[in-house]
Amino acid sequence: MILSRKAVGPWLLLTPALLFLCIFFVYPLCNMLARSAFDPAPTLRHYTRLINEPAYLRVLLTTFEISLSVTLSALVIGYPLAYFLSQLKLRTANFLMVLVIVPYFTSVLVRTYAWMVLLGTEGILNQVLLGLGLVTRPLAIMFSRTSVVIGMTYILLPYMVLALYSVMRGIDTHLLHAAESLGAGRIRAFWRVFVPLSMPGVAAGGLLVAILSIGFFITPALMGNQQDSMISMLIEAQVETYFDWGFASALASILLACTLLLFLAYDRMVGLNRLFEAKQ
Amino acid sequence: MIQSTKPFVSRGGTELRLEGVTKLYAGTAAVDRLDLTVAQGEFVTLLGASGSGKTTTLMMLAGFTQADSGRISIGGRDVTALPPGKRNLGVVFQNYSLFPHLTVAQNLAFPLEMRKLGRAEIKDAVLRALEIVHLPDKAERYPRELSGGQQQRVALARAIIFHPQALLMDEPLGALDKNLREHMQIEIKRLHASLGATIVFVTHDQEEALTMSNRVAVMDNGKIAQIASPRAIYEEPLNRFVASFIGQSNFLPGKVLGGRGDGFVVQLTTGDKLNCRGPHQPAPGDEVLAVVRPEHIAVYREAQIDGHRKTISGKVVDTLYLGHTIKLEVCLADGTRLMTQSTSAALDGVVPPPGSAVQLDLGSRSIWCIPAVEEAK
Amino acid sequence: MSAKTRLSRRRFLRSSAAASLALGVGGLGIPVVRAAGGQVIVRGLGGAYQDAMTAAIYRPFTATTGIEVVVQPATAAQVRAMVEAKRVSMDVIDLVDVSLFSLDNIGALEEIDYASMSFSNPDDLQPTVRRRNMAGNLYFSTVLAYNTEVFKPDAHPHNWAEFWSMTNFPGARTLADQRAGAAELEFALLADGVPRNKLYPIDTDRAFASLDKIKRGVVKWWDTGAVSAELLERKEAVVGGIWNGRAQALIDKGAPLAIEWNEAKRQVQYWGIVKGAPNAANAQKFIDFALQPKVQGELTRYIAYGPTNKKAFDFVRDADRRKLPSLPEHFAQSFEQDAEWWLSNLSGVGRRWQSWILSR
Repeated sequence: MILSRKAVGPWLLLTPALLFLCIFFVYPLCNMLARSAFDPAPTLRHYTRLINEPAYLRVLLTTFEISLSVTLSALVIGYPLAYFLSQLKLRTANFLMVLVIVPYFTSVLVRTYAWMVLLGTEGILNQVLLGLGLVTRPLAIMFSRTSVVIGMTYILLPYMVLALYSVMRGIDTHLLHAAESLGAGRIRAFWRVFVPLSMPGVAAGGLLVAILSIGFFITPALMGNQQDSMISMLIEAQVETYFDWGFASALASILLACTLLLFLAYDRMVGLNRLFEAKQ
Repeated sequence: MIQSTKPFVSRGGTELRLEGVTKLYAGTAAVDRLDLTVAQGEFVTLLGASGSGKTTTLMMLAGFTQADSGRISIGGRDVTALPPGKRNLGVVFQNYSLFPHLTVAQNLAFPLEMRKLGRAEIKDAVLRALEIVHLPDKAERYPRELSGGQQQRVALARAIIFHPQALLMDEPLGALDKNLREHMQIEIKRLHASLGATIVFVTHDQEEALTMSNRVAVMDNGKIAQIASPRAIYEEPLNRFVASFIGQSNFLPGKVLGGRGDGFVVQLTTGDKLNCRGPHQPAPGDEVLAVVRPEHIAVYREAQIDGHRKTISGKVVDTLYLGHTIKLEVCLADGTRLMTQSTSAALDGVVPPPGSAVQLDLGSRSIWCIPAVEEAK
Repeated sequence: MSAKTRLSRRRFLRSSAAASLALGVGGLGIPVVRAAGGQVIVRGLGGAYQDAMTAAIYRPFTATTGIEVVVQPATAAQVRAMVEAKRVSMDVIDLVDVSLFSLDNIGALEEIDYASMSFSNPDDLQPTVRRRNMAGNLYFSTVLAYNTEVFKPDAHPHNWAEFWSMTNFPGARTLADQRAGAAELEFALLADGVPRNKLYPIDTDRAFASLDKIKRGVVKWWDTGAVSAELLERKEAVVGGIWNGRAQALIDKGAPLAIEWNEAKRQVQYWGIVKGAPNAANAQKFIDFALQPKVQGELTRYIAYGPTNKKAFDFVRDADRRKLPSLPEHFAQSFEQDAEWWLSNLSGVGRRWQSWILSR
């Protein structure tokens, strides 16, 4: 089959992007995978080390636990918010949506520091609690799993809200009317019709947040403690402190595999194309 | 198409009544002090252009929209403050509104589950409903796997499966193509006949309204301009709005000379005298408009004048050849212009050229007249 | 004292990208405009430390030699990556002893050319910090810093045993993570009653057993100087073992903190030249310049770290002298970390530390 100029044209446009990705992404990625099994000679010891050392397995477990907590928290906070936005007039909703998304353009670092100020021993939250007499001593929220989950939930919330909102916007309000006309109260119509129809959004938002969570670094590194280390922190420590790039590569490969698994689940349940679409 | 011998809806339906119902949107009345009574088992169509208030009226009946004032009752029970789920009305929406995440059977079961019916009972009812709408093999399909017409039938089945007191239909056939629409019109009519259900039907399609209804309510500006049988709406429009909304009409101004029998005699501004009738018996000297449908005017060339008939002379201004029909714009002696519509056969296939003189025969029946000046409502 | 902050790391990414682009262009044979005397690329650590270096060393060096100093943040790992990839875009690095030793171990450093020095006399250097591939830049100490609002001057922890006592001195603590350079095994031993002169070789079992006892009291194990300072400044910790320069900077800013010099741990920050440095000759000249007594003395005006050149004290102001780790009284109270022991035990301690720190 001869490709016409028309067919070749669009591919030519891709060349710079493909070249860039090959040099700066594919090549280092392969390098990393190779290092995990060939540093210095062909070996599986970097992987067996991970399995044999309970502390490292704990890090993996912690990573999943935190990701799950963050995903659930983002869902619990994001669902009502997205529902509220989806019921507003488009103009109002768009305006409020901007308010949800704008923080997302600020550096993660800045937002993490803001939470550290809020949640610290001398932070606003503790001052309010002390002022109200609800606690007698400042709560030690910072540098705990709680503070990590709070910080990460806040940072990843926009992804959840956007995913939910775009699906909720697409739900025909007539369907709720129909359910009501068929004898459902408003609450039952919501549970029987709206909630099931919003499930693609829940799956999309949940997987998106989970995928972003498991590789999160800045927030857990700054707001957490070492006992609740996530895998990315462990990787960084291997590279920066212990110069163990083989082990770091093995850890990174595992993180990559977990992320890909989640992506696969996402594709199965939602369809990857949904990631880039605004509406159903 | 629906040929069930067993009556599906046990109750025959209920009377619906709106009294002085008003709905304001941003200070403007979408529905303005509307009174409407739909008798038990009656098929009433709300007909109007978009923005006339017909859908708002239906939504208030269904309970999705709250009336700002007035009273709505179903079977004598005041439901003005009742939520939609408690009104026991079957609603069919323009886009069917089938639940996309449920199968056809689950869609049909939904209202029965809401009413806490037993499993077996639900299963039985669903099967029976599917048979009635001729979709017994589609129970496990999802709505998106059905054609538009099939979806429409499922929506219909879902709206009647729980024995509602009445059926409300909001432009239910709007999304179907012409053939399917005509087919469904007949099905709905049969359903109405076999169920004896009270139906309120909203449409902007006058033909649909005339074909299907016992009575048509023509709506304009949040009010009912006229409610009457399809024949009366067409033949005896109460006012200029209805006369021009339903089909086409020529309005010939004239003055009442005096009564004669059931009707009265009107002298047109052209000088011609006509035997007329109207909604009211006018007093001599009253100004009236004779409502003449283009298709009721027989057109003769000068040479063909039948001496027994009273005709009006005019001159062809413009012609429109449509194959089976020919439309003429004719200028009368006093400058009044009117449209005629004749079959090609009636004119022997000859189109009178512009400028040619014609004689117009308005027929032997008395002509319908409406007051030239309408009383403010 | 790896005073890198996360911020500086981000800045590094940008500037290093720009730098490698510039070098790449140079490598393609396109001439790159440079200062008359050329340039030298020095690892910067950001913050107050970098400001001090700029004022006391970088500027005078450029004024004297015409060689432009380009400051670029980098971590030890990044330097290692450069050497491995043979794409070195850094000349002089300034790292804490243990970190630089381990870079030296993998052959990432050039030899220091003491023989050709003209600004400094290598014989004036403390002999222990004059090494083949690195030269001592300054002394710093890890000191016991405490919040004066929480602990009255006469009732504060005076040594690590008291620091270890949560009952007598309650409050959140902070100590260095292994990632800051070396974990505080020495403090743990001191707290457990090991005398100062019997610390090495470190009994790691005993040290970790002692660390177990303080683990719950430590709110966060700091990995960068910036984090340690934030913890004390925000009162997330009320007492901690942190670098004296960081503590001094907070005190100078008016923070309610004080330094206990007793049982402080002295360490050395070294200069080194990256193997394959693009401006190796300039780098030698730079280190030669930086080791001068006058320059080292000048540096203490800006930051409270001690000179390695014995003659530098002639140039230290009296007001600054008492803040320095190398002040004789402080010297007497403190002990010097055995970098050699750490170097040979780094990977073992590192592994053990990792499992220890990750478990509850």
